[in-house]
Amino acid sequence: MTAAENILIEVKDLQVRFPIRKKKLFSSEIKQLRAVDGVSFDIKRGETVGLVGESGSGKTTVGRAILRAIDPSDGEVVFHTNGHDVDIAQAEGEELRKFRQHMNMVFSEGSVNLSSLASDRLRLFRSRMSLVFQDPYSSLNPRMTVRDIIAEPLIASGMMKDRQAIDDRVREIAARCKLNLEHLRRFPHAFSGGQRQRICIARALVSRPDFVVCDESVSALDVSIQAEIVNLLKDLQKEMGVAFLFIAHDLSVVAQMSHRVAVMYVGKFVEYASTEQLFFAPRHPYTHALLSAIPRADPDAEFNPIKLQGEIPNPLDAPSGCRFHSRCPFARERCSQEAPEWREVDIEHFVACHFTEEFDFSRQKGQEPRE
Amino acid sequence: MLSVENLSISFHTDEGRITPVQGVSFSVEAGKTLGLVGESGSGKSISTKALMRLLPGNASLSPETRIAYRARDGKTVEIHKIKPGSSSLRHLRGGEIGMIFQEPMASFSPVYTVGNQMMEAIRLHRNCGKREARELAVEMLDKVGISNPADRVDQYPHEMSGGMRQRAMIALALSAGPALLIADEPTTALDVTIQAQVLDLMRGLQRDLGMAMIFITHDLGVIAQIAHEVAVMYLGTIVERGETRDVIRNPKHPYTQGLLKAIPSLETLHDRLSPVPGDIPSPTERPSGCPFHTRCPDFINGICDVNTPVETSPLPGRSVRCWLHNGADSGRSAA
Repeated sequence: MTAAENILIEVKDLQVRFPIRKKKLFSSEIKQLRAVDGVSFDIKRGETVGLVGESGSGKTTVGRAILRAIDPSDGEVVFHTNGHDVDIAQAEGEELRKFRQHMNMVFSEGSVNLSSLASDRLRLFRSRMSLVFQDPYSSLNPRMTVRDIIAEPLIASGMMKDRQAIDDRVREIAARCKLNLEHLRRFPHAFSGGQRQRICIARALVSRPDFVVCDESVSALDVSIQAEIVNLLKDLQKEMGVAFLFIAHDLSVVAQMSHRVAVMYVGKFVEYASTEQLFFAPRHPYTHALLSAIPRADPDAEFNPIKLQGEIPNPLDAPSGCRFHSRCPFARERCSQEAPEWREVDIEHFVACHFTEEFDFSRQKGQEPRE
Repeated sequence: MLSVENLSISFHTDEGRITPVQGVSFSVEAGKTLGLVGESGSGKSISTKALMRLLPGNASLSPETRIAYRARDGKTVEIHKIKPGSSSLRHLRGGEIGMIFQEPMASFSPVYTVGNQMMEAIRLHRNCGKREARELAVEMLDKVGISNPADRVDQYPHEMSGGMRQRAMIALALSAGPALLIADEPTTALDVTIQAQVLDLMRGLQRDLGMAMIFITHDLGVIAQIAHEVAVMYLGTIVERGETRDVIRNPKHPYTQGLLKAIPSLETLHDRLSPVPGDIPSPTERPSGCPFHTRCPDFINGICDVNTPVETSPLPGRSVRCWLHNGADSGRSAA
């Protein structure tokens, strides 16, 4: 398979804008909040892409927009399935209806632009992708048994109707997520945080999706439990070949989980590269500053966080030019006037910075621990 | 400066009596920082709330509990004996011991300006007029790195961003000039870049003002950067205590070892993480014997699940509650 065929999701110039109404005495003014402002990247099959950024940078919105849980305002989200490019997203009316009964077949044959797909067809796609939320306490219905919670995606998408088949599938996925059979009869309140998150993961994977968005899925868990969930997600990925978009603000967890990592700042990507490249040879000043701010559990490690001035800007009035210029220690005049181009500076290493060639942020790799 | 002995807190609930904190002892020296680390439910927050007598009504301290605090005037205050609502308690809260909470939005009143709330605290503890208090409030805001403090002082908490609110919270806690500051997860809700700013600020202020700190967090990375001494808590007991550097370099308790291994590192990518097996037991089902025995890799059947380990000191300046180290001691003394 060539690299291009291996691509599962292609995001092109994705934009999400929210209208914000400001009431005045006799009139009202509508401002556009550009939560995501022109983001382009791709995700390969069976790959984990990490997405990091501070709160308010728009990382959750990117995840939701790819799933069409939020409607994108502009841009494309192309979902490639095997082989040919049958772009049913552009198809209309009668033609669409004809496709409908072959929908499952179409999945395995063409690519679909999700950003312009109508809602009834979108539903059929939903079983191909899924979401794991941050808080395992509020994302499980307390009145449903664990079995019903895990089975719900199968029933809602109409994928399976036979009760026995549903039961078999639920048991299989529960076993993979290290849940016991007796757990299936219980209600969510009887479980601890780590177990609840395993239930959420089982629910997300029960329809055997190609793509799952994990939105801060391990952030609320304690460190000792968090490691277990990260390992579980990695194992499931190997077994089932699912691709993850792993959204988190904790960079060290993202480093362990991801093959490639994107860094977001006020609605835009500033850098996208392999994990190795991004963590050991970052090319953007913001990535560098973020990395320097993580406190290490090593009393002898140098801790000299780069002091960024001020706070993350409000996306309602994002700075002109490069959005990071207001806090960047290396900012020059050009940075405030001209938005930097999103360019590939190395193989699969994308950066949006005018002066990236002048910086050397690479750092020494630590010694591998001996077992 | 502060010494806590045998702190045990129990709650009367509908499901019976639960004791989330059992026999906790620690001390804080002037000008030093003690880090309290632990996962959720380990009792780190309520132990420090007990120091300020901020526990809810259904909580009670055990009769063995001793909390002694040496105030600035040289007198020793026995906090566990103070009557609630007394003037000495009011003097202690804020005046001697300041506190910063995790969620700054919840600890400010939304209906008063930040300056108003700071002035109230200042005037309660210092004998000064309104104008003077206001000047002091502006000065404190400036000290914690808030730009335009003269304007910010008249803003309401909701008009500030998260990091700024947390800094205002620190300014408020410091405005009465406490000798001891208790910081309960002050950086957990913040982004890393802001967290770095706040940690830097707190270290600087400690250096300048010479106050002692108790810093509660679940992040051992933060502890490594800020605490001189660390106490690791698990299910309401301190399992290991010692100098931060020693404990992180050479942990003795299996829980501390597991916790340190479970932290994802930025230095080694794509390694498999090693979690601590099992789940944290709920406070109502506290395991018998050593509370960690249900998850411990070095569990000794017949000892760890029956007897509660006592505190031993395998190294100078270190105390550990674990039968592994106890066993070595008693073996030697028997021989």
